[in-house]
Amino acid sequence: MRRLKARSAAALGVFALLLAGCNRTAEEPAERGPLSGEELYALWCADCHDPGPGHPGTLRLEGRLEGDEAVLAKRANDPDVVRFAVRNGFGMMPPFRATEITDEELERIVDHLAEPRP
Amino acid sequence: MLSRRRFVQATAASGLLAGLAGGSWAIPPAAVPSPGAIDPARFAEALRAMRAIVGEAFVFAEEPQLVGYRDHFALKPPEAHAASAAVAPKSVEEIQGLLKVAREHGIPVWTISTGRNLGYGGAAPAMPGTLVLDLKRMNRILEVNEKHAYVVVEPGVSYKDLYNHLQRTGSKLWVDCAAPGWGGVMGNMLDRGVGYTPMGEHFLNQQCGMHVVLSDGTVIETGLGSQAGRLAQHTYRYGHGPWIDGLFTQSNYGVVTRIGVQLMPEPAGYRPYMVTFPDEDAIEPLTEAIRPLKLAQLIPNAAASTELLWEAAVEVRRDQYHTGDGPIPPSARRKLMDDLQIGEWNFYGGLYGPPEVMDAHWEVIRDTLASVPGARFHTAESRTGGAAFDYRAKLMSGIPNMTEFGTVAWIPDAGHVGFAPVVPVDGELALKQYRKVRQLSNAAGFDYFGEFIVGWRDMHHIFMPTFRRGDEDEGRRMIELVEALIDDATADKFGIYRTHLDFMDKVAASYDFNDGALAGFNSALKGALDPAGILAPGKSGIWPEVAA
Repeated sequence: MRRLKARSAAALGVFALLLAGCNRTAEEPAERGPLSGEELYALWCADCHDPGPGHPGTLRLEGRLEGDEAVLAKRANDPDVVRFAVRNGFGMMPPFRATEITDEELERIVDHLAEPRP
Repeated sequence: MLSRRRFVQATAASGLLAGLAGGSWAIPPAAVPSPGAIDPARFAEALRAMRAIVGEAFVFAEEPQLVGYRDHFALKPPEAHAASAAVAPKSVEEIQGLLKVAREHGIPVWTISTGRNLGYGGAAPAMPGTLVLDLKRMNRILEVNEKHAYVVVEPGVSYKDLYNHLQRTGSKLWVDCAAPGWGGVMGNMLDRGVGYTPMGEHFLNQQCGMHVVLSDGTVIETGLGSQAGRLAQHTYRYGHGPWIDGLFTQSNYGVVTRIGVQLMPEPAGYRPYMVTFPDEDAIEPLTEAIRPLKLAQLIPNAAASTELLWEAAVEVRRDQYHTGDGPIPPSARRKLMDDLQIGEWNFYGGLYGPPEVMDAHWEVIRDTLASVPGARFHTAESRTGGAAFDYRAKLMSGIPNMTEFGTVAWIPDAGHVGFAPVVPVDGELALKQYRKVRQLSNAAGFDYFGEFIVGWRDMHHIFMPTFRRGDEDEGRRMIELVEALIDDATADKFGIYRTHLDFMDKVAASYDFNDGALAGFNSALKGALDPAGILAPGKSGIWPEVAA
């Protein structure tokens, strides 16, 4: 028990030292812009559409499409389809408003998804 | 803009559309509604005034622009909750200006932060014709206080925004997020949502200090924020006199524009664990085992007991196991358990702190949960490659992700809706609730998707059944099911803590002690704080005299 207390105190001490001097006030946008198409894809799309388990969009599309076709970034996506799906929703995917993804940002996502990526 | 026909052609050619229910992805309302009894010319005049405040680009009044303000998982036709327009301010001053226009023209206004409250109404208003006040553009993280472990955020900051910011700046603070990481930090807290770390009961554990614009444009700071200096504004929540912050949760008494959020410093260590149970009735002894562990705070985080299908649906689709109608049969359930190595119930918890502390806690937790028949223990070392364990491990350490949204991938073109009664941490009651909800759900033709989350002294029973969007019959049956569940829960004295737009009046009416004295109190406050009746008519069943 004594050893536990000593180690815990040491750990807390180190942690307190790490914290010291870290206090700061930051007034800045949540995301620093402008973001690239790749960065916007990572922010808005990847969590659902990346390959592998745990990605709901990919899981759903695998019910209809074979292999890489179910992975958004690995297919050549029709720009109009991407624009329409983002603004109107598609199946389980809800639409995204212009206050979330601006028209300019949407075009960067469209460009990013136009060609398949390895 | 792409036409509907062109979209169908393009998606059909790419194979994306195959099997989708025809066109249910974008059902327009018959027409964009005007608010209530307002003359269209007067409404147009109000929109002109609003454009002068926020700029032309941030007033949305055309039907295509308003698609994103519908409830994508609506149970009723879009007309039921269609917005008349939306406006997106960038500052408190702009909000004050917009509310002035709304007061002068009698325009009802429905506030959203990130608008991702899917299952409870999304970005849509309760009353058709309401103008949506979209605060997503107010997305600043105003303060990160590493020493005292809190942040101050505006309404548009999502969990993922906050997480990315803290990671990028080298912060050692943990976010506590709802399961879908696109959710809003403030919006979820104001709807009294939960997360999965030791700070999981968001309003209880995290909220400290609010900045609110009242309907007459007055700005208030709650608690110590109203005192000059306000040194402890985000470390002590009560201040002096009545504590009013709760009045701005699940309510329509003001527009919250800033909130203090207390966070957890990264602990010295973290170990997620999972315990599976093969028996359907295990929720009873499991709950009995959890209660003393939670009361003693040996399980410090929001402890989740997840039923089989919720667990399975983040990894597989229903059609891989059953293609017939009605609830998935026992044979398919057994195969799911075998294939995914999961139980009828699956308990998730986390150990936090120095290794010695975690070791000591684990001994007690393991011995206690081992008393439940069939308990099998899993850790990060023994459970690799499974999406379910991985996303739970992330949630319990505050890493936002979208994996749980996979429950909606269970069937094609699906939506889901939340039913959320609160149950005491009592095994017999938990089993009773589970059996009734599952029986009613299965009888209505829907699979049971549920989990019990123990924050501290209560269990949130979260039932989130999926249904086919745009299928009128399924929508009607789902409404009947949820209404029956509300009636049943009310009869059994289980209060409901949160609900979808379509059921807010019904749930509010279930709080009927002393001839609905609480509803009378809420109405009196509404009249006093928002005499023009412009803020969010119908939110939580609270209607202003004017709109009523």
